[in-house]
Parts: sequence; structure tokens; C-alpha cells
Amino acid sequence: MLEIKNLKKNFGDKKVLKGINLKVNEGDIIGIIGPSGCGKSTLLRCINLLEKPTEGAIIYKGDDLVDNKNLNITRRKIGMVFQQFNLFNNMTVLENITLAPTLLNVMSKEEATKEALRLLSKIDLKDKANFYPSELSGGQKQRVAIVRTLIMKPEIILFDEPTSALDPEMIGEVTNLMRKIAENGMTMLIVSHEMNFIKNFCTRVIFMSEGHIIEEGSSKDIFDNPKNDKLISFLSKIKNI
Amino acid sequence: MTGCSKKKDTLILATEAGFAPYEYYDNGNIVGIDIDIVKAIAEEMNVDLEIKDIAFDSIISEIKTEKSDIGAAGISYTEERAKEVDFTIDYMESRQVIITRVGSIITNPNDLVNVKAAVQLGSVADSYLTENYPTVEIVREKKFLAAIQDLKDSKVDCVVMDEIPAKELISSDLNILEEPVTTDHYGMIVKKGNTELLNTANRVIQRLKDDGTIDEIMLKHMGVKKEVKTKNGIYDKFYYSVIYDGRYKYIITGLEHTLMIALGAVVLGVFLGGITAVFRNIYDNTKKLKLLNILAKTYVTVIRGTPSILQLMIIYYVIFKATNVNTVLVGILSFGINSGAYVAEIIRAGINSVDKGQVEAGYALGLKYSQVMGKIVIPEAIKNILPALGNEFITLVKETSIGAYIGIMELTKASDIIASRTYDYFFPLFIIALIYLMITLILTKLFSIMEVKLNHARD
Repeated sequence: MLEIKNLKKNFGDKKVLKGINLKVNEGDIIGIIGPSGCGKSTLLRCINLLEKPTEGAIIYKGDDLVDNKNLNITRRKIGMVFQQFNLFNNMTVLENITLAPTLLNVMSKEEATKEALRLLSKIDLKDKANFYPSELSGGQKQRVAIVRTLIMKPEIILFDEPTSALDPEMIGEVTNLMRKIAENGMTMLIVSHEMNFIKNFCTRVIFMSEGHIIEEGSSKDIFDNPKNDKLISFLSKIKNI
Repeated sequence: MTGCSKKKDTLILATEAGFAPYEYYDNGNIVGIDIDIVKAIAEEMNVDLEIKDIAFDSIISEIKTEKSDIGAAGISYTEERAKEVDFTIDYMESRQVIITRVGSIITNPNDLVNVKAAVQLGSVADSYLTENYPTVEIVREKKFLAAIQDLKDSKVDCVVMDEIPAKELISSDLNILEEPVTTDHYGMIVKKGNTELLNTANRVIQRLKDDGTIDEIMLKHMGVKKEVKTKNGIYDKFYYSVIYDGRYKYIITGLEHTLMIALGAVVLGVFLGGITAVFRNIYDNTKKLKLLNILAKTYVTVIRGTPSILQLMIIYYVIFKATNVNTVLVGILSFGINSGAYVAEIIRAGINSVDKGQVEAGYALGLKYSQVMGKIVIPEAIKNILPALGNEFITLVKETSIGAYIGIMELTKASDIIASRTYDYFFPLFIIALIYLMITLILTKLFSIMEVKLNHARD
């Protein structure tokens, strides 16, 4: 459903992505790992054009998203979850969730509210509907952010280090929600440093280094049978911590 | 090109009404020797008289730019001035005398060597001393009252000024020396080439001189005065500065104009600043509107890079050249344009302060630029913008005091007028300062209440 062709991205003189090729099929749960600065977050941000690629194509269901006039229509189908949650500070939880579907006329105000409350009750946050983000814990904020994405009925969700800003005891509530979403067949791309989660959860894992995809395979291949030296050294460093 | 572009049914007189007995405020009206003479001219022409009270050193440009028809403010004939405007025949002989503190070593004009003398900026005494007394250090004050105050405070050794008003305002600790520094002649001024008005004025002045009317007028105005010299103590000062002769009316009018200009300017400023910020933000985010962005940037740079008093004078004397425009409107326009540049930056800073992550979240959900700005960024930014806008408004209230330069009757001008009648600078200034302080305190309190409410809505 998504194909990335020869994707390159420069920030000024700095080449962050040096030609990425990747095919994502429906139902894939792809983990992207690699050392800091390898370009994994940039890759994710290029997919929904939060960063404009310097070169290459992002083909989503037959359409190239680069220089696409209907980008904002396609973006509805590509959800994104951020490390810093990025909830709208001056809106309540409910308003955060219902803003996009009502503004984009996907649902009426009543439908959106009803659907938002249904989703909130599923994550046990219905009683926080009228709270402001500043009144929530990090884990609660991230779950609200995920629900805000879900209400748009995305076909694919990009997770950009969804648990990195959380206290350790809150990581579980977010990963559990992600598991539930995956059970319903959602396609996911996940950038994360939670190696155990990636290992157990993802169907495919990509290892990136210095702007290239170095190794790609099932999570078993990558974690139990790494081939490339860089990957071996990366994994050994993580185990040492 | 023969002169007057204005309607022929009004004669506009430019003067500075702080020079009793030639021109001064009495019970809210501008009166004086010059005024009576110009009234006679207007009668002769069978037109109405409109009087504009502006700064003395602006009178010549008023006449040159045809904002006023005739200038009369105890203006002495000098060759320099005669190059710029035409003078009528003189209606009054004026002696420039030296005022000293009692017991001064200066006893005649020959003693003006290596001393400090205060004069009114642009007056005859100013140019005469500058040319003929090279060793005298000249302190140029905007008002001759300030010059007298300098003398009383021992900041200068003497004041040189016209004898008639000098007699009105000296107190027991000051002397007027017998021998004048120079004697010269007061005339009225009209735009070069306006011979019709010049001839009429000359005819009337000659008639008034011949039949003794000018002497009568002079005696009449020399007699007004003097309530002041008896005042002592705070209550008297307050009485004469505020109550007597309805002087509070100047303060009320001044307050009205100050607030009107500040309010009008802030509304205009928010409008201009808003669209400027919008242009710049659209360009920064979408690279559209390149030309408007350059325009907006230039506007902000030019306005923030030049003094607001120059902007005011350029708008009044250059842009509204030869139009008899309401000065309060000019004030609103000028301060509004000035404020807009600052407001644009306030809004830009407010928008930039909104966390970029929220913008990205908006885009990621499929919202368009306009929806992200309108629903997410601006409501959030307003929280940051409002307090800064409040400060801008408070700054504007104080800034309007320079409006006096183009004759706007605002608070500072009101204190000038009162001081010109009571011959006491401090008390009116003190009252006006107190009023400014009160306005800003009230505004500060109001804005902080608003801020609390705004933040409350989010807690």
C-alpha cells in the first residue's frame, strides 16, 4: 500500500537520508531501529510530508505524495503519533479528538463526540473528556493522542518514538493500546528504542545507519541472527545498558 | 499659483498661545493683541477666523504649506524669515530685554560675555544672540516660561526675550534691565506671493495704528493677568492650575484627546499589525505572497527604525501638505501606523511561541494551513499576544504627548497652556504626570484581570 522509492533528504549540507527504498504491505507492523541520528525519525516524517523530501517518491496507493495538491486529504489516512504527544494545549481532551473530524466534515459534531467518548471509554479515560492536556499524565496524554489519530480511521499509523518521553511505569499502558490496535489489523511503522517491544511486536524490523537501510528482516532474523557488523555492534551496546 | 487653496470664507491663523499678552488662553479661548488685530483683518475680509495653536517654530512651515493663511505670534522681522514668507508692515515695536536675578553682575548688554543665557527656541533673541554674542552660551528652551524657570533655578545667568510678556511674568526675585539688547519689529506673516491677503492686512494694521486702536488693545491685554503672583501653598497652586478660570476644561479636553488618539491608534495598529503579521506568516509557511512579505518587512523596518516624532511631522507636514486636516485624526493615523509595526512583531512573536509540535499534529491529521492557523495556532497565540498588546497600548498613551508638536490639544499641551497662564511650570506638569500615571495603573490592572481570566479558562 505504501512504497518509498530512492528517498533522499538533506538539511542544508547535511545528508540525513541517502536513498531509502521500502515497501509496506497492508497489515505490516514495521519496527525501525538504529543509532541516534541515523535518520529513522526523518524517514517517518518524510512519509507524511512533515519534512519535504529532497529527492525520491512516496507512493501511497498509487499516488505520489511529493508535490501532491491533495496531500491534506491523503494525510487523513496516514495517522501520526509523536514523541511529545503534541496535544492541542488550549483544548480539552474531547475537543482535541473531535477537532479534525468535525473541521474536515468527516463527521457531524454529535457523531464525533459520540465516537470520541466511545474510544475514550475503551481506554478508560472517559472521565477525563473535559480535562485539559496539562491535567493528564504522560501516558494518558499519549493514549489520547493515539485516539485523536484513530478517530480519523487511518489506514496506516506512524509512531515516532511514542514511549520515549514517558516515565517507565507508563510505557506499558501505551504499548498495550498499540497491541490492541494491531490486533484489528492496522498497518504500523514504529520508530522506537524499546527493543523488547519491537522484538516481540513487529512483524518486520529495519535497521538504519547513516541514512541507509543496512539490514531488513523478521524480528527473529534481526535480533537473533544479525548479519551486518554495524547491527551486531548496535545490538550489543543495547544489551550492555 | 496665487496662493490660497482654501475656502475663502475662513481665515486660518497660526499662533502659539503661550505668549501673553500677544496670544494666550483665557477661559478656554485664545485671545491677545495679535488675535484682536487678526480679528480686525478677518472682519475687513468678511470671513470667519479660525485659530490654530501650534509650536512657534512650526508656524513658518504652517504658512508655507498653506495649512494656515496668516501667522501672528509676536514674530519679529528678520531677513532670514523674510526669505521664507512675506511680512506685513510692523504693528508693534518690540524690545528684546535682559532678565536677571536680583543682584546679578549683568547690568547691561555689554556684560553679556562668557555667560549663560536662556531664550525661546527660534525667537528673535535666539538668532540675535547667536549672531552677535559669540561668547554667550545659549540654552534654547521650547517655551520662554521654561527659560524663566531656568533662570530661577540658577541654571542660566539671564533670559533674553520680548519686553512686554517679560513684564507680565517676572517675580520679585527677577529684574528687567533698562537697556534692550536690540529693538525690533513684529509683523505678521503670509505665504510668499499672497499679495491679496498681504495688502488687506497692511491696510488694516495701518488703520489700527493710525486711530490708536492698537494702543488700546495693548492696554486691555496688559491688564488681564496677575491672579498668579499672589499664589503660594499647595491649595492656591491647585486652585489656579485647575479650578480658576475653568482650567480643568483644558485637562479634560486633553485627556479626551489623549485617550481618543491612543485608542484609535491601537485599533489601527492591531489592524495593520495583524495583516502585516499574516502576510509574513503566510510567506514563512507557504512561500506565497512574496511581494507583500517584502512590503510588510520594509514597513516594520522603516517604522521601527525612525523616531515617532519624525513620522508624525512627516505625515502632518509632507503627506497632509496643503490640507486643513483634523490633527487628532493625523495623530491617530501616525501613531496607528507606528504602533502597527510593533504590533506586527508582537503577533509574530506570539505565533512563533506556539509549540511547533501542535502545528505538525494539525497537519498530520489532514488540516490545511488556514485551519491549523485559525483553530490551533491563533487561539493559543492570543494568550501570549494580549499581555504584550496591553503594554503597547500603555506605551501609546504616553507616546501621544508628542502630538503637541503639531498642535494636538492633548494632556501635555493642556499643561503647557495652564503653565502659560499661571507662570508656574511645575504644578500643571505634576498634575498631568499624575493623570498619566493613573491611566497606566488602571490599564495595567485591567489587563492583569483579563490575563487571569484568560488563563483561568484553560485551567
